[in-house]
Amino acid sequence: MMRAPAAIVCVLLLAGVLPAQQGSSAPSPSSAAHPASGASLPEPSGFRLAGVVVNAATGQPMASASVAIARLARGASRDISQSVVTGPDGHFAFSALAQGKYSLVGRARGFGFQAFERHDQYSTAIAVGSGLDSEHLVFRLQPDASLDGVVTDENNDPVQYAMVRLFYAKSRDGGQRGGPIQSTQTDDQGHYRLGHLEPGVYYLAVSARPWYAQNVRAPSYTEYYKQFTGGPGAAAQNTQDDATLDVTYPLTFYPDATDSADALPLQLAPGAHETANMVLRAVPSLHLRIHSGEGAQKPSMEHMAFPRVSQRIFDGYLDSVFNAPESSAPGVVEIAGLAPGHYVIEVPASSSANEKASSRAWYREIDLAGDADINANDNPGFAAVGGSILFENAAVPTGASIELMNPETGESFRSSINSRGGFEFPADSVRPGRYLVALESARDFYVKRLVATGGKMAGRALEVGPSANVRLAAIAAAGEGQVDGTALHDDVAFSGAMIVLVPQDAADNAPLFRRDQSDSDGTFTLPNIVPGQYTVIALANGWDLDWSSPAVLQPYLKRGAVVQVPPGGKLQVKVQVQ
Amino acid sequence: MGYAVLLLLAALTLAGLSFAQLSSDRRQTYVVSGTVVNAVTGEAISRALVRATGQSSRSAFSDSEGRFQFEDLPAGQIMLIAQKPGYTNEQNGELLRPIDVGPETASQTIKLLPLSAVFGRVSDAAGQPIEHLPVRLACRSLRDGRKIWESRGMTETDEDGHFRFGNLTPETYFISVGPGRESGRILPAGEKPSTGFPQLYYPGVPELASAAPIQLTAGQQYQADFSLSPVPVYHVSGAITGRPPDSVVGVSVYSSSGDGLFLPIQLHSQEGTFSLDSVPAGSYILKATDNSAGQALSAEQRLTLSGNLDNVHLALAPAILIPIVVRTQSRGSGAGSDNSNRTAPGEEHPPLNVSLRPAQPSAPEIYATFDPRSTAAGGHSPMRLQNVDPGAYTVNLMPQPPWYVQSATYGQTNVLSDDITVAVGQSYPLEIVLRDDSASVAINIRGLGTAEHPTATVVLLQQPPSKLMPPVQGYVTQAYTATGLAPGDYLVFAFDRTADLEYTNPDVLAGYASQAAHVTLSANQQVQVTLDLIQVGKEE
Repeated sequence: MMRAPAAIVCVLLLAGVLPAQQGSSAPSPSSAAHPASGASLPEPSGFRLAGVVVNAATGQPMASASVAIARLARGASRDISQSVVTGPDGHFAFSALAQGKYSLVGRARGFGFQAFERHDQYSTAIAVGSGLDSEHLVFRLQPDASLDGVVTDENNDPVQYAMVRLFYAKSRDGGQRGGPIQSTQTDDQGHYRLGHLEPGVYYLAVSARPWYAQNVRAPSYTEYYKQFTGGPGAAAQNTQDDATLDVTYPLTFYPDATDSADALPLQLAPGAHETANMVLRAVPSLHLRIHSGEGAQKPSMEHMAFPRVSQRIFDGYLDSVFNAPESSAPGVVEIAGLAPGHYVIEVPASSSANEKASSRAWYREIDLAGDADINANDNPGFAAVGGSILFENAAVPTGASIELMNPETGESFRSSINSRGGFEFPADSVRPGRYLVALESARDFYVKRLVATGGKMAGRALEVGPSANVRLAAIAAAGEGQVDGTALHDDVAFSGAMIVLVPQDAADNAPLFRRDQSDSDGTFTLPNIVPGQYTVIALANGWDLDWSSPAVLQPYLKRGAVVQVPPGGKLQVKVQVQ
Repeated sequence: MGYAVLLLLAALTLAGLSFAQLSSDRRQTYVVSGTVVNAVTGEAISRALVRATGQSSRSAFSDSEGRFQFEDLPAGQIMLIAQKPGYTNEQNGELLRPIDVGPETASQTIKLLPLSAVFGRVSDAAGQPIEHLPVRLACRSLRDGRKIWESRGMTETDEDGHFRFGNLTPETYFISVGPGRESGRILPAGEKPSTGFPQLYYPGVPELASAAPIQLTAGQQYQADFSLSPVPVYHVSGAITGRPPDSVVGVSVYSSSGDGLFLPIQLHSQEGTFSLDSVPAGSYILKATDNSAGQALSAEQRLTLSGNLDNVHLALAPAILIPIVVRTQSRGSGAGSDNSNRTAPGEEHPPLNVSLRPAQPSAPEIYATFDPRSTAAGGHSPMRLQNVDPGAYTVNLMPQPPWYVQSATYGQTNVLSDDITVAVGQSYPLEIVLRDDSASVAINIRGLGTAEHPTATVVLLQQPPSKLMPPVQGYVTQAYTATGLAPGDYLVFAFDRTADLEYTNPDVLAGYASQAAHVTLSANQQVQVTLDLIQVGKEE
């Protein structure tokens, strides 16, 4: 069973509603004795769902835990229908239930809201009916972990108001790295605390500015001195003090790394309360000057939009730099407060009533090891990406959009599709790179055909070059398919297996993957499938695998079930658990 | 491009300075050194940034013993300022004194005042932490010699029930927690929790009036724990009437002490109805406002919840607007004639500012607005006080010299001697008469200009005291002439320091009356007076 990401669940918790599944799926008729034979027959009822809640870390039964169920049925609301509190021995029971599948959720003090046997956003739903044992469940609640610590500077003074952020050490959704999952600020004693953490492996990053830092200096001072005095610049006299104060803290990863590649992962066991203290060390601030190249007399930078500065961390995730002060003078913009590292500078286009003063959008990737000067005119522009999509025998669904996602950086861009099927990404957004193209929010439609001019297309992956002008042409058709199935191990239904629908040419077709977790009767549902040929695999201990990597999946494919999903097709498969 | 221009100016200034330095390279220079210490403990403060600002600006860090040193400072005057997180350099409002750099410059001691913190834990009756509970910090501080009420922050308890407010200056604080929900059980759809936590002020009382003030001393770490018992929660719903077509009504909930509360409100704009779930038992103020029709409408309802309330009626009515009618009478020494003049529509801003100070401490001060164009539409005076909530207020009038307030009335109330009460359907224009035949006093203060007492704050209190703010002048170095004074009797005070002094409160000033000078002023008169400095806190 699949559920929405945890963040959404937390919001819905108060309302007592379980998130809707993408495309509602019916519980599959799993028992021959009770075929789903029509509405006229009364549904079998009077079943029980019962078990014991235990602390996953200690194995001890948990009293006073809150446990609730929601029925999963086609067309029915997925609201929490019943909730109970466990008794002193940790037992809970729901009775008089109709046959069907139920989502089982729980929480307790120190144990965040979680579904039964959760893995990422998936969990095992409980099938209830004759011939099914739903009364001996062991619901292992995972206690929240927490992390706290003190951020100090090299003199052992606390660093106040430092930004402390936590990242997943492993990407959760097939290669796409997201931003920080939690962030906080240190208090007046340099202390921070991050609570309600799911057990897992994390990276910790701290950013701050030294409280005494003074990074901004008049950027074109020397030029102005020359201009106004006619003599050589004497700037050095005044920067004597600036040097000790013109410092910055590099973005620092636990325990003491300024390069994310050297970051040490923090392993948080269920219920662990770990401490991670950090020391920030000031380094001389680097200054990056961007010259308009139009001479100091002309105040052209007035019209240049201020640059966005990001740093590449981990495998390419673009992290905005917030603490870099910017200043401008005629002809130059200076970004100060930068530590050595790899940066991406992006300058949006600016328009002006005076057309000559308008400027184009551009970006620059730069490795900074010292102060640097770059010329605004020397840099590549963004790619222009747009095109049109034809919806076969249908009007453009309202709200539909095209998404470009860079699996390396996790960056994604969206462009809405207009009523004539046209779309155009903002002129200052798409840099060169490899992007996966996906159709979003288009109900039952899938991309049947996709071709590109001005860029190389392989599967759903689009290669965009510098300053490229890429035109996409796509045909969308109605009729996403669905695969229902049962995971079997030695012909016995297997609960909690990771189910992966693997497309052909997996490397270029990440958007076509689907996943699920098999329910207590071994059944699963893979909805919203783009018609085509796939292999369905079931893995017993696959939750730690990088399932989006073709090399990782390769050994499992030959024991998977090959399916050919026709448009609008619904297939039934049986898959051997590996 | 103000920023760029500023930088350019800075660049030119720096250029000028360095040029001057270069040209007088052989000038004699001196060493200035000293220590940075904690003003409370006397302990050395390391890694403080010390700035010497004079002809040129220098900076240095104090070492592990708090010592700092500037070499090669040219003769002249500099200011020394130290900074360090966790400390403040505002030392009782004392003015920074310039230091003469020369061969005899003594070692300097810079005192920094440590900042304070309030922290605590919020738990239920069983001692279990309560998470996600709002915590508010308010401060009753002195500003311009009178007590004002300021919010100093808001936070939320963490999963251990902890909260903390750091970097606080030593002042008087009040803390409240709540209201909040109980969040233990997963509830079936449609079911609501039956208990929640009310808003309580430290140490656990429902009203601000009975709350315990937390008087922080410099560097103090004050622990304020709360233990809350759940109370029943109720459902509140009702209707908003008097809405103009296509109105955009907003509804908000306040505590009985006036704190804005974040209770989720379901508002059905089409039907004009609203509802709130899970409101803990207690007293609240519900307010509805609508600004869509060009005229501000508002409604207010006080609730005391001890059960579900399903028929709350919020009747929108025009928000109270108090027009201000200013009459100026020019009898200045030069004019001689009586040029009485009533403010006419479209005229210039009258020579005074007007504000209302609510008697309720946490409510904001309301300032008069001036819009000459608005007279045509409403027929009101161009100067007015808008969106005035019902309640008691002190009227504050601040005329510009030479004008002074001869009289001011609101209905039957003389606002110079009494507070006014504003009620729905009972508002009057505020009628003010200004005259310009004001008097002035040249004040000389004995005992000023020493290292210990560099400056004074002068206060002139009319006798009998009026509700208006008495004229005040800070940082007087020796002599000062107060102008724009209404004829009458005055007590003149000169205080050496005002940091903890409510120096515009007549009751507080009465305690110093024996050390004040007494003057009587008649119209257009200029009087001289010499008085002694009052050393605050030192008994006579």
